[in-house]
Amino acid sequence: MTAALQVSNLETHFFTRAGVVKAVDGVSFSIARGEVLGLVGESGSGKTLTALSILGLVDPPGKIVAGSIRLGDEELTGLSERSWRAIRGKRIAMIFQDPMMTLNPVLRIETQMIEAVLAHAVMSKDNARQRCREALARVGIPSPDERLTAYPHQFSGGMRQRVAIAIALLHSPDVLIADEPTTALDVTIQAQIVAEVQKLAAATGTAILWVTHDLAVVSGLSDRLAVMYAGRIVEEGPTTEVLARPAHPYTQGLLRSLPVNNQRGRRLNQIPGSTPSLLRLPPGCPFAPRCEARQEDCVSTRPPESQHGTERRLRCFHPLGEVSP
Amino acid sequence: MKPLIEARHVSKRFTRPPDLAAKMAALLGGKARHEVVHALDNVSLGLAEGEVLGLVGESGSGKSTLGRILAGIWEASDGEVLFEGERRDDLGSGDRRKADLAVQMVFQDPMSSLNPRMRIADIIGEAPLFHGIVPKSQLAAYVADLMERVGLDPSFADRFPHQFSGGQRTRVGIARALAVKPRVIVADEAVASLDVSIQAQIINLFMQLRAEFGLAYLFISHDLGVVRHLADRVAILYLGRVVEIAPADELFQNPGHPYTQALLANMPKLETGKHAFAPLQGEIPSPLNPPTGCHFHPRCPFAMERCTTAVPVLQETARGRRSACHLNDHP
Repeated sequence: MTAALQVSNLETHFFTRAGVVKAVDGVSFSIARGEVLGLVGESGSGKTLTALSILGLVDPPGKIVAGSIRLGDEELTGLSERSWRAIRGKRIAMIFQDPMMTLNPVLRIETQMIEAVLAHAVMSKDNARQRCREALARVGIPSPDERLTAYPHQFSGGMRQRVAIAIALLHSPDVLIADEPTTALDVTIQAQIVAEVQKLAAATGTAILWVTHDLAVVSGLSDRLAVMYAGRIVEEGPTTEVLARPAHPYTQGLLRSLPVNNQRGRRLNQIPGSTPSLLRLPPGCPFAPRCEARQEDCVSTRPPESQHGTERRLRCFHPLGEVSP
Repeated sequence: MKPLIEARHVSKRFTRPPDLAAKMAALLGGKARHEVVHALDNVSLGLAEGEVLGLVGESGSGKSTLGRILAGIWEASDGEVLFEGERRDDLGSGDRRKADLAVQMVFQDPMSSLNPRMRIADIIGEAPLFHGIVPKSQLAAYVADLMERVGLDPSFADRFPHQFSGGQRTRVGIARALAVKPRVIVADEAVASLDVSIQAQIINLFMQLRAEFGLAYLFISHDLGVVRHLADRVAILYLGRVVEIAPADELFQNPGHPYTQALLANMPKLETGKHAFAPLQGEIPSPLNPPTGCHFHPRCPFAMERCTTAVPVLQETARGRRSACHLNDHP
């Protein structure tokens, strides 16, 4: 079976005056239909740029310099801007962290949604409006007819995010990329949005790439988990496996530093130091300076990707314990 | 135990001044419409010496407002703040200054709470110099000592805030608060914008400083995991009212108020694995127009008729535990 989305050896670099920043440095993964992949990383790990690269939204001085992105059977790298526009919003859609930035504040919801429908489908305006109404109802917005004529500022944060999701799912895309869509929301609203997305993806077979820094949110949502550090995926596998038996010291450090994984009131396990500057990466493993398990080879050589069983991949010379498939 | 600082029946209202259209309407004999936000509604709680009180709530719950009132940044509209048992407003100017210095604040966004044009040494050293806590000749050594205590290299004293990472800027904010030798620190979402690995470092720093200086914290956060880790007691706010206050371990094991129960159930957990979410329905109502009776009743699975009309009183349900729910009367 062809994966809905297949990214191989993707490299997105930024050519700045200070030097070349390898923001995405050889990232590979695939997502099947109806599957949810959680892409987890801290700020500067390259998770958002991976998402933007897949959408062809990297602006200069950034550039995709190598690798391939396949949507079904179609190669996306090197497409013309015109071909991109036929794909973006129709076959790949995205929801961002802040829907106040993605919705136009001076246009009614209706205007924006109908525009999105007509951009990719030929139909009358009335039919388009009907489709928007259904889309709003599907994401749980009460009285969609009235809400269609409202402006974005008249919605609460959670409702705005629902509108953004409704727009993203208008054309039943093959792939939905969600970049921190619940980070700005309150706990109870976050749970509602996660539940909504989970339900819709299961119903339509849309593959989801869920980009986040919050392990706890994706743990209940994703089938597989990929952990990024300094532009690379350092560990990937089924969510339950990665969480229960992390093999990369960075993944383990992240999990151990969560307050829920520590005894109340005790000193938290912390990863020493901070994330490295992508301009001056050490020659070996980028995590080596912060790693407790580092040895000589970690400092001198960059660990290649190794496959463990059919489902787990890792970039580490000295993984923790036996890596279960 | 006598609380070090205490809020008694504190309310805070924000009124929007009428805009031009409203003024015109008033001139023409229209009814003046005042938009009043009840950010806090009759809140009473105390913080004992050396205690960590977690203050949890969603947006619009008034948690930051309460923090700012206790820190003396804002005045309460009603009610009073007591410091060591005395009304803060009745203190003479010397005692009042002492009481104000004793409560310091650490803000969420260190980029907007640190002056970008000041060097770190001046940001940390300005207040203790002004208040005569250290003489000018010893200021450099005092600042260097503080920087070391919060885990910053003292050789960075001449740098500007933009030259630091987010975690380091939070440390600067903490050092600035510590510089006037406070007894209470109000930490308003101080770790919310930090990455997981950095967040753990800052939480550890908070705990270490508490042991070192005997500090009390009012730890404001929406992150229940962080609060459970740090707090001795937890107060849950919903739309400007305290709905439950209890020792942290009891509250997390056995939440009493339906809202607390919902919060805990909706809290993302690692161990749950892939599962179907059963979220709490409904929106957080607007504080401009809060529901009648119990503010939570439109979303509450146990709501009765009485909840729509009568405001539940915050009452003791067990030793050291208080909650505001009509269910308490129907065990």
